[in-house]
Amino acid sequence: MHLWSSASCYVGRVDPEAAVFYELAFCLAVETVGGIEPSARATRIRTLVCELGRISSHLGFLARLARACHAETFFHYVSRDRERILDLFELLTGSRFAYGFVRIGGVSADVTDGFIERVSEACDLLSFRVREYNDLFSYNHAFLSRSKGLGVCTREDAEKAGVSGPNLRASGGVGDIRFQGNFLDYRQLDLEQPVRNEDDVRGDVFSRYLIRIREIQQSVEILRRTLELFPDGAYRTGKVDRHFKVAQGESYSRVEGSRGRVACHIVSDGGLHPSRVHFAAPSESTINIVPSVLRGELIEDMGLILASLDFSVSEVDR
Amino acid sequence: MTSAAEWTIALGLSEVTPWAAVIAIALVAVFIFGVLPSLYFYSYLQRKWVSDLQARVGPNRAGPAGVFQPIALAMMNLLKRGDQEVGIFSPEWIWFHIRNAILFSSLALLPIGGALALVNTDLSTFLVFWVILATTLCTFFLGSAQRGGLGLLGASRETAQMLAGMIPAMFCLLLVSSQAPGLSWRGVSEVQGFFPHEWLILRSPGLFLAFPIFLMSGMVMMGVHPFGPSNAAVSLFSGRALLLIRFSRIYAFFVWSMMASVLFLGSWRLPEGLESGGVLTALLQTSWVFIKAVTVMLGSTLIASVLPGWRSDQTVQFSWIVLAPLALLLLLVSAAIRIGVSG
Repeated sequence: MHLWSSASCYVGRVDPEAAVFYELAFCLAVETVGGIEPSARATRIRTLVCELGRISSHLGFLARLARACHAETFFHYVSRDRERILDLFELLTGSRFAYGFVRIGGVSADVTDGFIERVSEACDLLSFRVREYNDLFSYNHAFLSRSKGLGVCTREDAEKAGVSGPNLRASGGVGDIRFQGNFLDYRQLDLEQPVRNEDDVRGDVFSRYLIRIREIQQSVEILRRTLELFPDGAYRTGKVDRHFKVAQGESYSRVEGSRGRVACHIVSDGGLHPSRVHFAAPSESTINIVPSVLRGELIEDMGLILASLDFSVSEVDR
Repeated sequence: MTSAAEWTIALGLSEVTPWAAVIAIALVAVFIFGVLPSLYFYSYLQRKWVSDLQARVGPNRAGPAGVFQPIALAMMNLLKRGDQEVGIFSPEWIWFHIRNAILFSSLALLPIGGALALVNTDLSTFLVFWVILATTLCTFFLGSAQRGGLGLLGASRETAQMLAGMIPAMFCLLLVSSQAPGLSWRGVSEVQGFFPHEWLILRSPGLFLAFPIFLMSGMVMMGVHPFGPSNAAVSLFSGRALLLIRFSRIYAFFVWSMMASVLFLGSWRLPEGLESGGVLTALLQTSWVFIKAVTVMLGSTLIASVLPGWRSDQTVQFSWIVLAPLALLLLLVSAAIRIGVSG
């Protein structure tokens, strides 16, 4: 049985590709029960890694989708850019996946000036690359003819199955935890919600692709604003060591992950170890709509539709 | 003089040498010293250039600049034991080898130089289509013989693509014949020259458009990317059989590129001073037409590599709705202009 202090390093394994969201959901739940308030700097660093994690996950999505429709050149372009993001994670956390970076009361290490500069460079690069992606792939006739109207998931079906995140927004649904309440001080960044046109909300493969392209652009904007408003201060508050105990009680936290809503429910009996930790992963809901989305489609399109739903097998099978 | 006799003279052998032996030896020599090196360099250059285009390193392990990579891959597949090898003399095995035998026999029908055009009848350009039809039929039987429904589905898909690509290609061939005295390889060659302005592709706007249509029709038939890899036979094979399938696919594309080069890109014609006859001329002509074919293959593969793949039904639809009507229109306009000018 793991201690409270070490458990946050393990929770990321639910989905190693989007580990930061699980670590964050767990830490937020513990902080709520323990009455720990992270510093403003720690919150900004968390925002930074969350958005980098979102970009990395979405780029992984684009790469898988490209592979599914044999767009090898686009696949390699996207993978190359994703490597840049993973390099940033390696620089900050020492790992490229399953970081173990977000800790109770803050994060495990502070950011350096060099890191901030490199994030800024990555933002400039990604802004340019997204335009390149659109020229090369997004509006390519072959891709449009394969993806438009394919694997449609209506808003009603998505809501009924409990789908969240980009897949729900691609079907016309609303709801982004980042812009609700006071989650990680996103509201202080004074961000505008991206304008969505008809193609974004059709619920087909193309909409699910396009919404992620827009979210990459949005994450780049969030990163830029975060870097502008980076406060001084400690990167970690409170003393969380082997003897750290959480007061008796329970808590529930929600985080907007790259694949949708990541929720964590913890129960503490006041001891050194968590009494109960349960995660609700977005892919568990997404997998429910697979039969209805695949019905009536061609076998040849199955790979493309499944790739567009972006579910993580490790989230579902655990 | 028969082509076999010409071959005998071109190869510097006595006229009394049995012609069948001469042809067999010549074909094997052309395959080993011409086709295999051409496909080897195509395979290497295609991987190298496409990897450069895709911002990655590409082959760089086997030999200097990865030049031995195709050998390494071939060795890997040769030594690999296929996990689903079919039994010898099973229906799958028989159809698989008949298919490949027919495909590779097309070398005898190819125009590999002025002295080496073995089959030079008035309809010799059409004979390659017969090979394609026979290969398609064998592929269909091969797919039908495979266990489960996947083989049959794949075979049906490949057959549909073959037929869809063949129609526009034949229209393009008829268009070429309107500019040449008949449909023999030599007839098509005689109306062209060494320099690009003498090539048929630059003879008229119709022929200029017919070249990409002809090339795309071939890519549809062979299932070359982006017109979808046809997996009728591939899905259930691995190891040596997979190597043979991959090689046969590249070879089929090579045959088609060679046809395109001969029909549209000046065939094997050399500058006048070099067409004096003899072994040297035959070698130069063969090399020249091989270089053109490999260049056509590389060019089309590089352009296609940036595109997403099409679904099989989209490919078939594209061929029937776009390529075939366009090729027919070009043929009709060309015929109307010809009648108008002569009448």
